[in-house]
Amino acid sequence: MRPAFGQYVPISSPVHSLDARTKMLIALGFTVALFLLGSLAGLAVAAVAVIACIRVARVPYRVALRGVRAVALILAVTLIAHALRWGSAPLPLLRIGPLTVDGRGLLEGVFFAGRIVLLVVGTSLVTLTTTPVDIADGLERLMSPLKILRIPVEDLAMMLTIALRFIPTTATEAERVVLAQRARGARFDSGGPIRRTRAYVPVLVPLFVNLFRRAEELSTAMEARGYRGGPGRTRLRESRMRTVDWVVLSLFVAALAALAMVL
Amino acid sequence: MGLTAENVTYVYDAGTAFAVPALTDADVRVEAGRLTLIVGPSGSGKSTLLALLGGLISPTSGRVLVDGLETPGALHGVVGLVFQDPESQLFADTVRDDVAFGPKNLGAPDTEIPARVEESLEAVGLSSAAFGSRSPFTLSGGEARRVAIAGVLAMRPRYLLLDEPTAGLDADGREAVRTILGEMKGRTGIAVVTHDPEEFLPLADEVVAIANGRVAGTLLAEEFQRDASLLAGLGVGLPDIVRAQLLALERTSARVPLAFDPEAAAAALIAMRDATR
Repeated sequence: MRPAFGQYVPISSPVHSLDARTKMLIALGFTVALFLLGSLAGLAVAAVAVIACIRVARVPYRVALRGVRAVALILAVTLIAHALRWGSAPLPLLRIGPLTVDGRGLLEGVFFAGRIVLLVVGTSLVTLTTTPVDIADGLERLMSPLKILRIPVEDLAMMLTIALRFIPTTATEAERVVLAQRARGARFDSGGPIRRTRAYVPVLVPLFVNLFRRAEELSTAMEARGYRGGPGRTRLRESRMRTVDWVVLSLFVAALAALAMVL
Repeated sequence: MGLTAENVTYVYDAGTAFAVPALTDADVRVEAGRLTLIVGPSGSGKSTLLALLGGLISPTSGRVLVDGLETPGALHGVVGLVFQDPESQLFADTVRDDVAFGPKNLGAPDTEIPARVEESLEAVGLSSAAFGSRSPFTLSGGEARRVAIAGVLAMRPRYLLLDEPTAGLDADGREAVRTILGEMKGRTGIAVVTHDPEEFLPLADEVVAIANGRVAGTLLAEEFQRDASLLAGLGVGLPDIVRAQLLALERTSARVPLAFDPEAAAAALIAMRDATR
């Protein structure tokens, strides 16, 4: 069984098999387009596109929408801030004491909230259909022009790969320490927020100490195995942009251009 | 009385497609004043058994009783748990504060805590004057292990469960842990989980062998001292010191009880040689 880690949904689909770079570039383009769109019609087109992508990626809707929970508060604030007016409103729908729910404002709120939902769901499709390692790899490739500016792209990518690799290890370790402190009578679920945060000190301190120790061991082990970092490293898994990647990218650009003309 | 698992079964992720039975119909008893050695290969279900006895997880079926009472959950202060690599639970600025963490969580009165810290550091052979104010992160591996054990002892548990308590320690550290357990034995019921029983056989009153999630057998100290090959029958690897005695026994007609610690083993071997003449 695959460790339940990050968001990746381990199935195969046409979206899964695209190169990470293709998906990241499309997500970038999608984000820019989303913010340039000014109408509900444009938003509807984007929504249809996102739903189509979810279908093709065979990701369950429940999973695809998971990211929305994290921004639920922002959505609520967006809606309320747009819809509520103090005193009178141009298009009053409902009066609650001194406050008025404004029809136009509500529509605006729906537009901005919808944009956030689409942004979250659309971009999370990248992490849902691409393994973390492929993402790190793709980032390295995408950033490689920055090498001209002497930015150590390879080292950054290696750092990212290692960081991703150690997320599950760190999670297991945190669980272990939590268990040990619980056995010593520590409680993590009672009291106010400050008290609860303080309750995690006995977990965080040993966790960080262990992580630093592990980082040092890992760097020594990597050096011992001849890692020198920097340019000139070859890779075991050569990821290539295939024809299908270029086709998908071109189609995406064409669709954006068409939208820009119509809307 | 005692800490007992009665007919306990534990299934990880029970009711899902990933259900994995870790332990099936296990009966184990840890008695006050005795040391029970729980042995078995990696993945046999030993650590699950320990978590069940410690009340960290509840059995899928069967029950765990502490002194005749069914446990609703982790009974802090009654059953003390020392996990594998327990140094990783040290966090406080000083050794003293770290050892005090458990009793404080239990709500022990402030006036009583210094005495508890003192007493438990003493029990693990560390002087509170020399170590109390040190940072736990400057200790050697063996010292850190002992401080971690002291942190559990300070909760004054009636039963003490330890998972591979000597793993990764140097010879001095291992010896220190064995000495602590030998001394604690009179006061608490102890269960030690290990895949390498050699170090603890001299201390054990009972050996419980676990294989494939089942209790493969239980042997009392008297039984395996009479015939250590019974241990091999349970799948417990015999210590070299015992295998040497068994080999020597084959070449004599001597009837000498087997010994598990070096001194007694030397005496046993000499007795066997004398009997051959």
